[in-house]
Amino acid sequence: MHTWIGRRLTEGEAGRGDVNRHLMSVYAYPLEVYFRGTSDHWLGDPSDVVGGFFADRLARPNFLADWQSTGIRLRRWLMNAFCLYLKEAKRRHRRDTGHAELPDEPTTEAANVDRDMDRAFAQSLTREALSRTQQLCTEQGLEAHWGIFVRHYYEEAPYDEVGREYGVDPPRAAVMARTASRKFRQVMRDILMRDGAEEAEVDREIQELLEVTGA
Amino acid sequence: MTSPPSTTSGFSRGEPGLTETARLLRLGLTEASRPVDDVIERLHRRDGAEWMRQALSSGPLALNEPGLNPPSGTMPVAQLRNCKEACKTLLHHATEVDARQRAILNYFICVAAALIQHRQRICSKGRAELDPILLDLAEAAPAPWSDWLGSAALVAESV
Repeated sequence: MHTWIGRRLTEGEAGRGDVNRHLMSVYAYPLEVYFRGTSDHWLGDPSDVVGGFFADRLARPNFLADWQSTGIRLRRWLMNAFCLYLKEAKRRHRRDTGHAELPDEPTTEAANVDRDMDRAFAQSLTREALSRTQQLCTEQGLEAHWGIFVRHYYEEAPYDEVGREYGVDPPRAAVMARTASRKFRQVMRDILMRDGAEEAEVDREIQELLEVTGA
Repeated sequence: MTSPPSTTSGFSRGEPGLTETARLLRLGLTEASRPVDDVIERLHRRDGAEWMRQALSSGPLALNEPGLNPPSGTMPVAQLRNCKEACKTLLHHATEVDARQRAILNYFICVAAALIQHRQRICSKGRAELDPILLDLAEAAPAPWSDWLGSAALVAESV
């Protein structure tokens, strides 16, 4: 229980709320992408189905403690649990409607559903890291640093252009972007460690995610 | 400095595209531990500005106005190379942490001066390695060194 999630879970309702918000923020999108790649999408709107999954599983007291004892990445654990949830949903549907022809296992329509989910995780991770970095920069009075970082690293605007927009010269813009980029790096690495990676494994995780993005 | 333009003041764009994702993921990779990291940490301390002033006024560059301002005018590139080599010698013989850090700082000041004054890279470090070093030094250094080192970093990107 020495991970961020493990520590939060010992902090009562408030800690559990933090964990739940983190999980839904980072993993809802990859699970929705996974769901769209299966033949089960008739079960409902992806965000509703994934929302139902989180509501059901996160209400179980040992759900995350069980994950921690496995040592696998959280996104894999959630995907496995989500498959089981879809199976349960189909059984309920069979029972409720009397239709017996539906298979239990989710049939994936996409050729590489794992790859699609990892790709979605990479995007979700990046979006979450951006969002938290923005929050961090705002709390520290570094709004301009954040803005310059986004313009340069996200939108690829050159420093002379960004510098003009912010009223600083290009070298100052570069230094300010560097400040925000260091915060972004740490935030991204923290999120990957919450997924179950050890510090020494984070670079390899990022390299693997880079591969699935096709970079 | 003006207020941030409203178009970039928030991040509420949903999931980034794969191209942007890949570009930003790379920022998450660790940069290898570098000798200059100790210098950057030293500069971030409360007395970092005074330490830098002393380090530069007593270093091989022997800046006239004891380290208060970046070198003005143009020093011959050969002189900058000699100073840089003198820093390496100092580093090699340094037995104390502080002396090592001073030598490293002076080394990169020589490198930055060559970039700004001659648009020449006088060290073997490539752009990908040198640019972040100069930016990190710029971030930690007091004014006016910060902007001067930032300028050197931008030059390093293009030579």
